[in-house]
Amino acid sequence: MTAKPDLDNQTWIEGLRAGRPEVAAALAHRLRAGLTRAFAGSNGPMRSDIEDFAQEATVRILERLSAFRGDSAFLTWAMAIGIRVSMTRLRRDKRVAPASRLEAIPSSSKSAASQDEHAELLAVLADAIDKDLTPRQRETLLAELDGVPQVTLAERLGVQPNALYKMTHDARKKLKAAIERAGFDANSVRRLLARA
Amino acid sequence: MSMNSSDPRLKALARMIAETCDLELTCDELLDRVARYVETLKKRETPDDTLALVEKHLRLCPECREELIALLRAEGVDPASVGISLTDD
Ligand SMILES: [Zn+2]
Repeated sequence: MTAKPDLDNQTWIEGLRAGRPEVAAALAHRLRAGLTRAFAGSNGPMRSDIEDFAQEATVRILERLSAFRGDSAFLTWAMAIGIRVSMTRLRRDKRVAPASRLEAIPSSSKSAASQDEHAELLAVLADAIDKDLTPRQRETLLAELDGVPQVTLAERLGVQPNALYKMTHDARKKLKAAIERAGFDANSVRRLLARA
Repeated sequence: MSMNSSDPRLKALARMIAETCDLELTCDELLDRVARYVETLKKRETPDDTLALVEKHLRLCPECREELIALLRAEGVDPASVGISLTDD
């Protein structure tokens, strides 16, 4: 079927709310096209996967319509959900490499004084991980750093992804308080970790 | 089991802690706000203050950053052309 690129936000939402099949079909069509572009050249999903993801995303979008804030094009918002649905499936099935947190860390070369400070920061942090976190917080935070997908962790712990985020957020806040007690604020941490 | 201070996870964690605030978006909250961020990037506009929480989450969360890159591609935008990559430097 042909795309309807010019539907405005209200037309999309009213059409989907009213259960008009041609609007839902147009949405699925746009999702398939977007997902195909998003994953072109990657060795992840096949055409049949994309069909499947677009179907699941359409259902999720319908469930989530009331969360649309109206501050963007409807299709951009819908596509974000399409990507989330697809990536969650790919991560759960271990079909994409984990989104590593470690790669984001630049290597650094620093003066001897700041190397000492740097070592102290990491020692304080290692100590706080041992002493200030609950075993569950510790295990979850370290697993995240190892690149275990959030969807896998949430299922392992039997919690919703939002609850998982809150758990690791609380853990980070505890660690932040611990390193602040040792005299490291956010700026000094950034400075110590900065590229030379 | 104390972590060895040369464990690369410690540096990654320290960096995350430098970004940690009391008020952060969850991945779910990010999902409903990232579309406006993408449109801002597409128009080459500077993100306003209300997108600061979005940018903060994207610095903290590699999964949402990965999804942002896929979303830009879905929208026909080369992520590198708007300064977005998997690492946030
Ligand atoms: Zn996230």
